[in-house]
Amino acid sequence: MDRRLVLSLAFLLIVSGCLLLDYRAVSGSLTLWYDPVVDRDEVRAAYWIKDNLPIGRDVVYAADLFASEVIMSITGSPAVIGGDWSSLSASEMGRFMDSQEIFTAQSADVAHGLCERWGVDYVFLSRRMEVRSYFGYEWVHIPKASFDKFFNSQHFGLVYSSTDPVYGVRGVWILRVEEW
Amino acid sequence: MLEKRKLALILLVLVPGLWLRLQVFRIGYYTVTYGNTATHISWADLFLRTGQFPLWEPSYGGKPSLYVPIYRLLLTAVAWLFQGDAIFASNVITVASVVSPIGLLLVVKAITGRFYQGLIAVLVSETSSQLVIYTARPLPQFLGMTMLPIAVYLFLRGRYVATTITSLLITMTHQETALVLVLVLSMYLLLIGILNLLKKPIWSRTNPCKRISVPSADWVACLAATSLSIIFYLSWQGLITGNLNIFTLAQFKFHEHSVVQWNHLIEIGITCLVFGSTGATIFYAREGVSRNGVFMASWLLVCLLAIKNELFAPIAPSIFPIMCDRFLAYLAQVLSVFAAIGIFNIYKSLAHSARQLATSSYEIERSLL
Repeated sequence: MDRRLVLSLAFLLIVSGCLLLDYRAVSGSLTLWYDPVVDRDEVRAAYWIKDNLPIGRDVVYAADLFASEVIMSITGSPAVIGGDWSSLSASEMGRFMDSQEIFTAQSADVAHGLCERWGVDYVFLSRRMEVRSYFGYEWVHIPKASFDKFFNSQHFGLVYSSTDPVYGVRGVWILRVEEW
Repeated sequence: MLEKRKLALILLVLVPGLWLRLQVFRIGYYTVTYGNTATHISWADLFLRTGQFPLWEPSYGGKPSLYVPIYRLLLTAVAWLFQGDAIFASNVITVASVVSPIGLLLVVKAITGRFYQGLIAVLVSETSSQLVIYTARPLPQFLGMTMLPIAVYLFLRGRYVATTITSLLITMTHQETALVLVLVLSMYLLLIGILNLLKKPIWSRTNPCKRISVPSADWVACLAATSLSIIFYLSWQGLITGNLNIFTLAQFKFHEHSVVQWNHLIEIGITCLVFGSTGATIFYAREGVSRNGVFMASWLLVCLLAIKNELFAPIAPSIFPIMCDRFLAYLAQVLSVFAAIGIFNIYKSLAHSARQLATSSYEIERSLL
């Protein structure tokens, strides 16, 4: 076979190889961006909110960024964080750290104070958040003690629970922020 | 009308992109993809439920919404078609975003006159991670980046009114994309101005012996599109926030960015990067200083400067650095155009030489007989 013909075929093979390699890389990276992060229980809980709790502009939820997105899209109620932060004014940036603090603080008093500061009516808590929660800066681990404060205090009242008693590793709780 | 064969080929090159996007249905229980997508869904849902254009944002506690509205209106319209299910509509848009690279086909066709090279650009763009992750999710950026090459195509073809209208649509769809277009048009004006000052001739592409002057309509269209886009955006921001200073926004204030290092360039894709640079070299070696060449150079230059905008920090520290890595997707778009030119021309020259050699060997054999 002619050398130049071989060259042109080789070139086509190189191009196809590059395209295939890149396509595999795209597929891999897109999988990450198509990850909804939240689990089934959280989605079910959001539908429960829609059917059972007051919704609208005045009912504000505290959750991590991904659960906030679920709440917003399913119920239409706002969350303290969520969506594109670019239109925030500089004075409102405290939302991110304060949202995180509501969940990571070990003191129910501190969490309740922050909820009042941002006008939070309900806290949306998920087992998933213990290992993988995000508040706008980095992935955060919420210690068990911080989780428990929501259940051992009169600052918060349980209105919904989806805990599975068999497995005990998944579950969602919705807590009303009590007037104090 | 588009020939059936060409249409079939377009559909064929869109298949890899479609396959990628169908992944969105992999998660059955909830398919709003990752962050920043649900806020548009709640807005559309609110619009459909109340019948009133919502001026508040369901994210961040229900504050005024600075998002420009066209993508959201599209989502609302699609949701209305699907009985008000905005989550499903968002997934439909994700799949429909497969048409995003069609504008690149048009650009290649406008600068080379070859449809098949355009098909290569579509294929290459679908293998660029940076480009796909911003055009395969239900976000305003997908729509903005779909319209950007269309605006470029319209300008290259001298459809100035349509260019201006498209640039206004982009401004009302996605601010970052509008910024890129405004910068490209401004850079084009600047380069043409410099060439004029240097009295450097600009050659006609169709007739290489003919020296042309840039149509004055180019100047007018660039000025009209850039100034109207800026006025439109500032009016929107003023209406929503009562503040015209864009530099007070958190994105500028906190300099949202991630500096682009050499190793980040690989995220554009090997094909895009290698054949894009080769294609640009081939294009300028052949094209010389032409109107289209200057425009493409403006596009490329703006994207290159944008990804390294931290270099301007000493000059304007209150603005730069800003969103450096987010501009990689725009660089991938223009490189896809050049990559198509590169791949096509390298192959053509190799195949042509092979054919030429085969013909001459055949003639030699015949003469020997």
